[in-house]
Amino acid sequence: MEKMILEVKEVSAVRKKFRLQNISFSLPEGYIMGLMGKNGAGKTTLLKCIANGKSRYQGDILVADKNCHSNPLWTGNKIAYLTEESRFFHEETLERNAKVFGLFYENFSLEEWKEAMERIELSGKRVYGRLSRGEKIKFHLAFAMAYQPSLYLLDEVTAGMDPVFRAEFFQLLHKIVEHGGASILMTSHLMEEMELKTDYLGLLEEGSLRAFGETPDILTAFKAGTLGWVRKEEEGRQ
Amino acid sequence: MKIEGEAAMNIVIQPQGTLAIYEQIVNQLKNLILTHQLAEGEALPSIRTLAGDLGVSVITTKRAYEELEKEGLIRSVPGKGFYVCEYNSDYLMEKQLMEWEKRLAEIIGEAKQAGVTTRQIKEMVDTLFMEG
Repeated sequence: MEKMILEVKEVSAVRKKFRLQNISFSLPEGYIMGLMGKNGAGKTTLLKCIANGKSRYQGDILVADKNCHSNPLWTGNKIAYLTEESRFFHEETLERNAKVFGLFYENFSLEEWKEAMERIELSGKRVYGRLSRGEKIKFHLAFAMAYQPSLYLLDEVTAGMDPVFRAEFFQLLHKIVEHGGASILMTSHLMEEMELKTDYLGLLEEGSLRAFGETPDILTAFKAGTLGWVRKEEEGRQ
Repeated sequence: MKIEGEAAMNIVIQPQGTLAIYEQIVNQLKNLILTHQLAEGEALPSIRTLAGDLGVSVITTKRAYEELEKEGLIRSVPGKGFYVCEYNSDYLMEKQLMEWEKRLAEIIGEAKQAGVTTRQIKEMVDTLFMEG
């Protein structure tokens, strides 16, 4: 039986403009999952529920086998939630930002951070506010890698990346899941990207998970227009 | 994309091609095996390595390998990886020829229906062969 990094069990939530209805799926360790859906379908709402153990929802979310509601601090250290926005100081250098915000994470290692920064070829002396959009995202990723989370949540981070940058970015993501005992859940509007790069795909529509399964199967059903509930049952899967 | 390592393979993915990605990989690997560019008993890259090199998902390469294993072209050794099977290359080539003939028959059938002549088709074939 594969180890599950993320288990979402019948999660429902109501927010001002968005809602989630009875979402269930599991993501095994070492894979990349894509989450697609129109704007307003609830993608960010779902990611935020997963990322924040204190957020309000019905149902259960487990990260690395621990329930987020019961263990918000522990699971918080196991999750990285990346978006375009961030709380990093725009006036400070990357190194200063890393040292300050690294304090919030139990496992944060400055050594690991420096290694990650080398891998993404970004100097710690750069000032955060002066980075390009893509560089900021890379920095967010390097920062996360420094505390070795089990689950990376990427919220629309690849939109606006040029093809070369995007290819390098995915190489990095690939290394993370290959070696790190982690998985990635990313949202995107780009069909081709999802088709090529993701192992699992979920389709969110008006707060409900219309389909979830291995990407090739979901895409076949999607293209054939026969999308009903395409789910892979737990039993029978090694 | 060229892959360095035990097997130097030239595999090209066309994201917008008509065939699914894993089918493209299956076909190209099959070709490499049939033309002996991948030798019998040779070790193939791992599922993850191939995925990383080609820039595709792990599920894709996993399915490609599963398909090839089903067709008897490669085999998996637990704990070690995938290897090209010892095979009777004539038999495999025969099988592959039959499959190509079947696909050609479909295309030719459609073309005939549209009024294309035998000569036009032969010209098409000549041109395509020269390009390849």
